[in-house]
Amino acid sequence: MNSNHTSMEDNEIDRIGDLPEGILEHILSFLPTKEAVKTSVISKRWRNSWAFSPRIDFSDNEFRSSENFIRFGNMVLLRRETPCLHTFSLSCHDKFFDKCYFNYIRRWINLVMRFKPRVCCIEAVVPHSDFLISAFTCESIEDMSLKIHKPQIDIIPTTVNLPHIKRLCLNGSYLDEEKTTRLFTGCPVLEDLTLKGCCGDFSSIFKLKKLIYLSLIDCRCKGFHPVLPVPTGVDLSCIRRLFITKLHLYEVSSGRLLIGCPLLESLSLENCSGKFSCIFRDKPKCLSLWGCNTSRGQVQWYIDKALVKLNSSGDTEVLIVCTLQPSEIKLIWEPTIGTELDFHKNFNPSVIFSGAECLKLCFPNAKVDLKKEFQKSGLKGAFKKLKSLSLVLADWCLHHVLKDPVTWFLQKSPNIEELTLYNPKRKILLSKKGNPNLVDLDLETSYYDFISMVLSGMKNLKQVEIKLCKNVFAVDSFKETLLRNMKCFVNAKVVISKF
Amino acid sequence: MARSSTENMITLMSSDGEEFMVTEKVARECTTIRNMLEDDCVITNIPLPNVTSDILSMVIEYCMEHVAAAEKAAAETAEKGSSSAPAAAKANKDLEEWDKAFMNVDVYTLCDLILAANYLNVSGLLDLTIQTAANLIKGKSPEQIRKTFHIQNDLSLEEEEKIRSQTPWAFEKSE
Repeated sequence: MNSNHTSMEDNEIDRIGDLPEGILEHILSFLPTKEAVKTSVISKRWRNSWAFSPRIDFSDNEFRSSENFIRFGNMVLLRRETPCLHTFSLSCHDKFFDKCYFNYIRRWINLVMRFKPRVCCIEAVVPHSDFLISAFTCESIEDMSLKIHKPQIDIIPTTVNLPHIKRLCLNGSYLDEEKTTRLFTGCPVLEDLTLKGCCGDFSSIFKLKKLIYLSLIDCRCKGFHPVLPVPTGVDLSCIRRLFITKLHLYEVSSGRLLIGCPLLESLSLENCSGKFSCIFRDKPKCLSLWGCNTSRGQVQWYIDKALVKLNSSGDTEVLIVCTLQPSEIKLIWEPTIGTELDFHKNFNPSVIFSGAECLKLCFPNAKVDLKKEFQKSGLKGAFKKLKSLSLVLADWCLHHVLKDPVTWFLQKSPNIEELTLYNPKRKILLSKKGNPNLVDLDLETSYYDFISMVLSGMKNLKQVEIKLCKNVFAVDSFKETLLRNMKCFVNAKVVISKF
Repeated sequence: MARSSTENMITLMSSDGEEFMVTEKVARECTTIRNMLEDDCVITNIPLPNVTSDILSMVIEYCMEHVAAAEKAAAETAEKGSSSAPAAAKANKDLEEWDKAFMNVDVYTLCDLILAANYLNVSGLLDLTIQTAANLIKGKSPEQIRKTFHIQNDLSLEEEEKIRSQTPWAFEKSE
């Protein structure tokens, strides 16, 4: 931003050097230690500033050889001018493998822990379980993150004493029941736990009463099975946010889990599978189900200010039940081609969408007759709050040209300010044998003519955006139609783009 | 609504004598001022001899933006009973964008802002400015850093050579 100020005139003042004691050191603490040491040749003021930085950040990736890295690390630790250390960060990769190297690394960790750091991040190859014992018994640590390159190695040492740790992230570690018990007994005030790529027995986690956030990312249970067994007596009485990926949950597990989480506000399951219909009975305030594959059977989806993106390969019947009227709804249903999306008999879009200000509906491959749903509910009420509507035009909303859900929606929503229509190039037709065929979807000009007519009655309209798939044949004729109708939307900006 | 009309106004006076009227809530973003108000609750006029009007107006702009963002989030939570995660994420992103645009300043202003944020103890602004300064240093050679911040090299060639020879590993290029 200031590269123009490159001239060195005599009257230019060195402001950064005039900053009071401590500030330059604070700035340097945002740099990796190697870069901070490099600033020592800038001027006298900078010469020793790096040695006062409250952060040590070593990475062997920045060095040509393990010898240089070790010499550098020894020098930095020897010449430190302050006993205050806030963050210690160490990143060692597999590239230097020798016993001597590990001895030095271990010595550094032991030494650094005497400076009482509050945050500790170590990414390393751990040769044996007591390698990190000084870190696991450092009483000052509040936040620790460990990434281990060999998950088979047991990294939990024989003694764990982390009385102040609130946040712990373990990446790539093997944990059996004994180790998890030992670990969590040593972390009495832990609030935020993330296990990433870990393998083993997680049953003692479900008894951590003080935990507020729990993430299990790409974990595997005993024997590397992608299943999460949940024991009875789950007691996560403070938990607010639960995030689980790539695990299978049996119905009994999800039931036990949610009964034990009375304060749960946000539940995210990503690429999970199993039966978890109980989720909807307990209604977390924010629910995200990305790419979940539910087993056959009835599943009820509550939508409450949540983005529900389902990805199912089975012929799951999806039921949408909603007791609240959220203001933002994104309903994305991407099943395999030809799957039917049936709404629950209690699903009443007129009621659910009546509170929506922002609505995005996308069912690219599914057969959905939303209008039928609306008709069932008696076409009551208008969507007066709706300001922003996004529709992915596909088979589902185009069976009845001129009477389709899109125009119907628009007629019912007088206050729309932003309208986005996605027009994909192709629609899917099933052949008699059930094989999907992709057919070009060139909408008739008269269709857009009609939409333009409907839109012209909307006084609040600020923007109409039509996203056409590349190579759509009808682009030119559609532009003409819109231009002809331009006078209708005097106040609105019309954007035609391709996606 | 009723609250804002009854809210106390505080006058902040810059080193060059310009007066800025702000709400107490905005003023309280500065821990230094908050402490003064807590010590003496009837104080309404605060002279700030270390901050010029240009910089003070920027600090106030920052505090107002962050107070407004926090109020908006609180209002949404109160209205809907809970904060919606996507809306909160968007609000955070908007504020980050605003911060980024706010940091589009020259190094002199940046250093003045660091000083003011440090003196007034506005932790968010101090973190933001210090991070910005660190980003200006990151990846640059010592010579480039001197140019960026207009630093005169007062080390003799021998001294510079001595420092380099003490820590040769810091100056090697990584692979």
